Amino acid sequence: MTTDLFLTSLYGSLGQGLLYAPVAIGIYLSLRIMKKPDLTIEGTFAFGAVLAMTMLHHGAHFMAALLIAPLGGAVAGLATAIIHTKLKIDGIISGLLVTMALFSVNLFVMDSSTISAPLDRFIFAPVRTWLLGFGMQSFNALLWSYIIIGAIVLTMVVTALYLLYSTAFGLSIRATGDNERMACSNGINTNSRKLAALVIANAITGLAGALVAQQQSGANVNSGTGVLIIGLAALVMGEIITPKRASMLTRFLFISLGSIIYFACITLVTASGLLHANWTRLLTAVLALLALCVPKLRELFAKHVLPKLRKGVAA
Amino acid sequence: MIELKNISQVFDNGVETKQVLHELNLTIPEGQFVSIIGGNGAGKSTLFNIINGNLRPTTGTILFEDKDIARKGHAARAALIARVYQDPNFGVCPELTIAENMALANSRGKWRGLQWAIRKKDLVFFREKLAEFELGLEDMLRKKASLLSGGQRQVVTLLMAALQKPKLLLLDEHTAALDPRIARQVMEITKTMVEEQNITTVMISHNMSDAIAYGDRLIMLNGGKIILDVSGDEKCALTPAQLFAMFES
Repeated sequence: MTTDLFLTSLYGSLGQGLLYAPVAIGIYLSLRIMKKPDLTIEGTFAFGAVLAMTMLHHGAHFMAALLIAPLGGAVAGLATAIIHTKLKIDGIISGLLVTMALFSVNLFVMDSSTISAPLDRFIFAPVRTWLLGFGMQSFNALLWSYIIIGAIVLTMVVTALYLLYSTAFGLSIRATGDNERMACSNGINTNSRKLAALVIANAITGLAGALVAQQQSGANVNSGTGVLIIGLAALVMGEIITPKRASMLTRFLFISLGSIIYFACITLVTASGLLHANWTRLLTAVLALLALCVPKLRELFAKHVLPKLRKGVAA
Repeated sequence: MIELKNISQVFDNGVETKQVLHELNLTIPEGQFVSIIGGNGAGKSTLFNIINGNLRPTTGTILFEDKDIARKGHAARAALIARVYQDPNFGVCPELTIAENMALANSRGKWRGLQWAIRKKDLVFFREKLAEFELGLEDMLRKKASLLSGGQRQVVTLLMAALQKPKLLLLDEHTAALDPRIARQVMEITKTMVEEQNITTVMISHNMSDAIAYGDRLIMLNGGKIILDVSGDEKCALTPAQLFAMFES
């Protein structure tokens, strides 16, 4: 592999990492903050992608598509939350039910199993044109447009979430996830906070779906397949490198970094020819598993290896 | 003042029914500190669950300052009633810092909107409050509550419960999970806090000596009924041995 191709692959993974980062953050909000795995994420990602692409296909402005996609995600999250909190159905099953329902909704919205739109309608088009004005090569301009738009959107998402979770409302959401009984004792309506958390997590996932669909120039009913495990892998990678006493803002930033590292790992392995692209999902699962094992490995290292090393140094 | 009128609680699991409280009547005047003792299954925790809204009574009314709150939910009652549980883990959010935990308690009964959760003046207030206990907790505001010992957690929980002076404070065997030395310390803190702020308090205890030593009134529950209700000199004259004898009989 030439250096140019290697760098291009890394730029590509940087763009993908930034575009997928909201998914990892969404999973963090449901899995870590609320301590509830939310399987709606896969459905919402595809729903966001389908909504945005259908709107662009019919000539809508990309800003309108980027507004409707998170709204669609929020509605899906709301549906899961209502099933979970009002009908008292287990959270995982609620997510599965909504994801299954969204499959049919997506087919209805697209009126086919796949949809695309002209490239010049995408959010990346104006940035790409602007970069071409500086004499940048067409392909590089496209890659950098992913990075720039991904960075802008991610900055906006992270800032909004950080501000929200610094408020009394945000704190009450965190308390609900951490100790529901205590939250309730302090007058917090825990059902409404669970609802809000799922709405927020799925809204930003829908937004990511809309961005990724434009990056991939189309959407289909299976757009969300595997997104949950990709987001999870990115999340755990981010958590490994997150400092122990990190603030919410730092956590969001490191999770985003985890997403970039995840895509860089995938790109490095596939672009170097070590693995065929068909093995990407297996690689994702292995990476996620390894990342999940790191805390246990750290513990074993601290318990068994570190004392021996210290004894050796002392001797 | 809180008045419980004809409170009954029947649990029905579809196979069998069990009546835990039998038309219980209890009036607690403002500022009174009541200790409740009784064996397992006497109905003490059920009574607390009914008062703070975890459980709806099968029959009866709960009048809080002459308003019936029996149908109000748990969260809605939190503005009036604070409860400290036996398990120190129930009272705090372990993943939140002490300051964040206190901010939650400080906004009890208030609208939790998009205002900042913690402002500088809140931190000053929390520091002052924690410093009163002289346990060094004021220097741990930024630390996670999970780093606190059981006793420290219970002290923080107690302070949180009284931060926005509740109309009623429920202490559910709040020293039972602590070692004797820390339990004594927490009981003394409880006494000082309740007396200084004149908080109406109901405390469940399995410790007969504590039940006699602390509070203005002592109630013994058995089989969902009040079998002893004493206060003043009558209460002070009681000995743990006498109480134990009544308990056994």
